[in-house]
Amino acid sequence: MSLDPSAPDRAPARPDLGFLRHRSRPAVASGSPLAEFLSGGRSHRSGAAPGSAAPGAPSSPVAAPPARTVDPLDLSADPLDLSAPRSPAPPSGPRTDTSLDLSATAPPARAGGPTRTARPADIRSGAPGRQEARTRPDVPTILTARSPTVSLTRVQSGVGTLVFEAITTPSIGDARLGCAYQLRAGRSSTVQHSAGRRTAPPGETRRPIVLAQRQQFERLEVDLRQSPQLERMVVFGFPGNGADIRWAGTLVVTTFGRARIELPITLPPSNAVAVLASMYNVHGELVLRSEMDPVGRTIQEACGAYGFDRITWLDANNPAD
Amino acid sequence: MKRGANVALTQEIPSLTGVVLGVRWNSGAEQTLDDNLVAATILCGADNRAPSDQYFVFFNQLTSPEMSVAQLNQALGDDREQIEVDLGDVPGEIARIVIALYINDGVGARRTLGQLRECTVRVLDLRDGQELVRSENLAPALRSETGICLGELYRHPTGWKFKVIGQGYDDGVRGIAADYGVPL
Repeated sequence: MSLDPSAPDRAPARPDLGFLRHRSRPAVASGSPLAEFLSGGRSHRSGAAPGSAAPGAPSSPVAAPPARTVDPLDLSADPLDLSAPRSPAPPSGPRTDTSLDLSATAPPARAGGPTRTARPADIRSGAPGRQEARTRPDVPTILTARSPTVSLTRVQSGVGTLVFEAITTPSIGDARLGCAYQLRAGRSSTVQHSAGRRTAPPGETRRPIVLAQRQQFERLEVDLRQSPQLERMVVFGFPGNGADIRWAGTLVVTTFGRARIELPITLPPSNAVAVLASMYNVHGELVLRSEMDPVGRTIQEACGAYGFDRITWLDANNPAD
Repeated sequence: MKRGANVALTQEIPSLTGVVLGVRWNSGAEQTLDDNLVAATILCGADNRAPSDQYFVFFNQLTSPEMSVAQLNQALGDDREQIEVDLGDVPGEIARIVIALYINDGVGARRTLGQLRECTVRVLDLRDGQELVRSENLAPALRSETGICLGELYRHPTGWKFKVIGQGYDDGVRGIAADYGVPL
């Protein structure tokens, strides 16, 4: 028998080698955390029941809510990482073969193996069948309580920069913008223009992943050439002088291709730190969600409530790094 | 091969089933330029436009939907980027595969391709990595451009051909995407 090493898909099946593993297409079950998150039904924050932290409907108009004491939810750990499908439980009965292939539902290989023409249209997707909200050309995407999320394509998530800008008026008070981020390598910290922490990682001036600037409004720029290194981030607003902010305006997110995503800021007057938006890197696609969550008295509390538990702090508003 | 030159790949090598497009560049001491250079491949239909953004293959989208074109996470040998093309798997509606290089318009100081000392594209045999053709150094003609179409594989009645393009774009990936219908 001659074998063509350049065409493994045309190799004859080897049912006698039970230890050969079959690769199967990952699947996301409906009702999974990822599916709920992408459809906007689940908040990232720990302890929040799906929908309970809906934008525009905070539980109470708080001036300074108490710190959340529930366990932080570090989504990098597992709940949203569905890149590897969970295998069904192995049969309880004793196995009669020595196969190491635990994909019990995998069909037996046909003689000759699958043909290339049998490939699905897109076999890259890690979550087939999910219907994400997308941006539309020339029409702003508005994230609301009813439709809080939008997924950027891989091209939108990897070309140019992504800009977050809080468009407000001076009459609302001394509103400032910042973000907490977590990199794939595990590093977490914050960026706050008002505190002089203008780059992520801190001190990286030549090639920052996130850069805070102040033009007409405060803004955060994410370098999408480095987006594969970014695990997640949350954008928060806070009073620079500690006084109440009469929240109004819009957080505007703009892609390199000029797709515009608008997050109306719907919060009661407060001097709390409010998480306005979150962004997760899901299989190379950046998923934005409107949060509008006045979550803590300090930036440390807000970061803790969103699971950023790998930041060490100098004081309640400034990381130690 | 000079700009505009072409070669009949599968006519010359009937047994050719796939190729590797290798991109090399030398940015000298310009580390910021080097960090922000991106190689991308665009699969286009007969109308010279990509069917969708999924046919823009780059670091954040390493394969085309049917996986006929795949960019390696780590290039082998001296190339900075390598893209594998399985010619037999390219969908029939794809008429050409364009390879481009651009500077990601990120934060910080802007750079141009005029700072490159060397920039070439070459074609290797997918089976054994043997170099089939190589372009001339395209860098000396670059000035203020921030993007360049290096070359293209395209269907011809005689089979797959490769052509060196070498066309620069002052507006970088935005201009390249506009020319080839890639929604950004």
